[in-house]
Amino acid sequence: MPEPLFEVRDLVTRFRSEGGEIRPSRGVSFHIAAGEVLGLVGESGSGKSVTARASIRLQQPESATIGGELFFRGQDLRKLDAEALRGLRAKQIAMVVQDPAAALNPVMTIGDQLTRIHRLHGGSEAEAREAALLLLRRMRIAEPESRLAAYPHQLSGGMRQRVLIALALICRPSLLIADEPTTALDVTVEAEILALLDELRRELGMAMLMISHNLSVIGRICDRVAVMYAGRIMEEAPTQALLATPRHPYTMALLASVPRGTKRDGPLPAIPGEPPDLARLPPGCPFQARCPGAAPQCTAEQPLRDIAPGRKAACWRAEAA
Amino acid sequence: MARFLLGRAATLALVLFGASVLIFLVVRALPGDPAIAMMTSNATPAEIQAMREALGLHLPLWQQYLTWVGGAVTGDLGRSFMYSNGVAAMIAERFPVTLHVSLVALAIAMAIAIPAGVLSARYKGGALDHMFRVVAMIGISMPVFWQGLLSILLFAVILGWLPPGGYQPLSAGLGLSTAHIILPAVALGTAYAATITRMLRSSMLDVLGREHIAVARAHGVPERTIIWTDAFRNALIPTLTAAGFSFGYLLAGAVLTEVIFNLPGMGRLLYESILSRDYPLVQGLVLLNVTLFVLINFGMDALYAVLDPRIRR
Repeated sequence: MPEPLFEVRDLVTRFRSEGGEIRPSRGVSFHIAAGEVLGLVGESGSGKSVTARASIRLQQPESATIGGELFFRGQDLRKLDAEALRGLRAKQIAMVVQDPAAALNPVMTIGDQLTRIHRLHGGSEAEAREAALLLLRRMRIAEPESRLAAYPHQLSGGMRQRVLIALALICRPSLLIADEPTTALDVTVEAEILALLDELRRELGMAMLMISHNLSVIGRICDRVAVMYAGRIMEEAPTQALLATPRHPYTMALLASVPRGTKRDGPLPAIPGEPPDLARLPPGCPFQARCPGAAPQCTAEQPLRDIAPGRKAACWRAEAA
Repeated sequence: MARFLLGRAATLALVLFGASVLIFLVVRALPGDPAIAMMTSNATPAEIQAMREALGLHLPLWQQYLTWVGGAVTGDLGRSFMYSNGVAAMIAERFPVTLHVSLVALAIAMAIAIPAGVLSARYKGGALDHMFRVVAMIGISMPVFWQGLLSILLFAVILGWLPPGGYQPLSAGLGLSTAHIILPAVALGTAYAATITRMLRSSMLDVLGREHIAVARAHGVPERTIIWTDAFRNALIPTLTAAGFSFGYLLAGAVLTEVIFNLPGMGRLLYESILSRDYPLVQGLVLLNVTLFVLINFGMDALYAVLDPRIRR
């Protein structure tokens, strides 16, 4: 296997909350090759967003601590000082998030926000403006010149998300963290923006960590998928294999809960039970309380292990199968 | 923008009208008769009545009000009962003192509050944050007059560096004037600095937790830019409200501070005028305070519009 662009080993995040210590990531490992798209799927509260952000050393909340190793092009991000980390992020990393209204600075014009990111790499104001205009055109934003002078509140939600993506792509990063980038959008706008994002990603040869709770979004653009539950990766596999033959009971339950077809023959399927309280996790598999196949073995730790070439799962049943 | 400001100006006029009615009625609802207050204790009822007529107090209330407001619009606030000077002239004499102290105090307050608030938020939970918190608590809890007395004791009595009180206008020379103004301005300024610091700290923390800050960090924007450009400008909007109110309170005059430092300002004048039931003087001073407060609010609104494009529309 060639050296991955980005490799996360045994990532642990923790912070204190009223209910006790919360660990949104409990030993998460994954890797992304250059140009590859890895999906990170899970229900809300599974820790996927905190994990993805912590993987580039963004702490949320700020009091959170991060453990593990984060190799970017062979360099451990955790060993970089603040300035080196900032420089690396500026050149190589970008992030798009779910809520574009909150992700753009309300008191800065679109143009200022775009050009200042471009200028982190040097170059003149005129060059930065040119790059911003070019990118806004690529994002199919009408009248890009006048948009540069606009403030975020003057744009529609879909338009803001395009600007946010432009903001991420303007420095031609090699890794994009996409944290539910289309969740807040209408279905039609979502499809359009996903297609656009994928097109530009291919053009730039950019790798992507795509966080979503939506399996159809994941299925459309990811090469591989990691399924997360209660701070752990439960299963990891190439997208098609995972969707066709899920091996972990949680993945199966997740796939079964996706509404299909148009027949209205009963209530929408849902995973029974509630996601576990992250401050009070049972020993062993975190999914055991909701798992239809739970057995005494499940109270033992279930590490993520190879079950087939390119496939991993954290369940003794998956291994036996 | 023009429409926004015009709307605010209309509100301002309405507030001033309401306030003038209220001031006029409240002053007259105060117990005590100014005519009696001005006479010796053995004055006859006839003499008192003559005095009432001389002061115009025998007229119906609406007529008294119209006379007062009619004058006020043209800048004539009537004559003081006690000093028989024009109220406008008396205020014109005192106001520069209060304005001078207030401006210096506000500058001191902001000069302390901005770095302290920003640094407290930047290093939340750190030693600096705790230090500023303790200092701010002391600043909020310690009465201004007490701080004033201590500073007079130290700088005027023990060290002899500064005069213990009195006022010198700027025309008397910057050095001399500042030597007189600095102790009261610091006493007032630090008190307001404490409140503004806490306000700025909490709005900075609020903004720093927002998604656009995380995005800026992910894109490698330098932390200094994030603090001062991304966070500070957004956090300034609620902080300006606190600063604006502080300035309003400062301009109303600080009675105790003016007494301690022997400053001939508005606070003392208001205090004396209330004690002597000097209706025109009380009315004039309070009306000026209200006007200033409303004008400051108006200025704040205009500033918000400059700072926050969402308000401009």
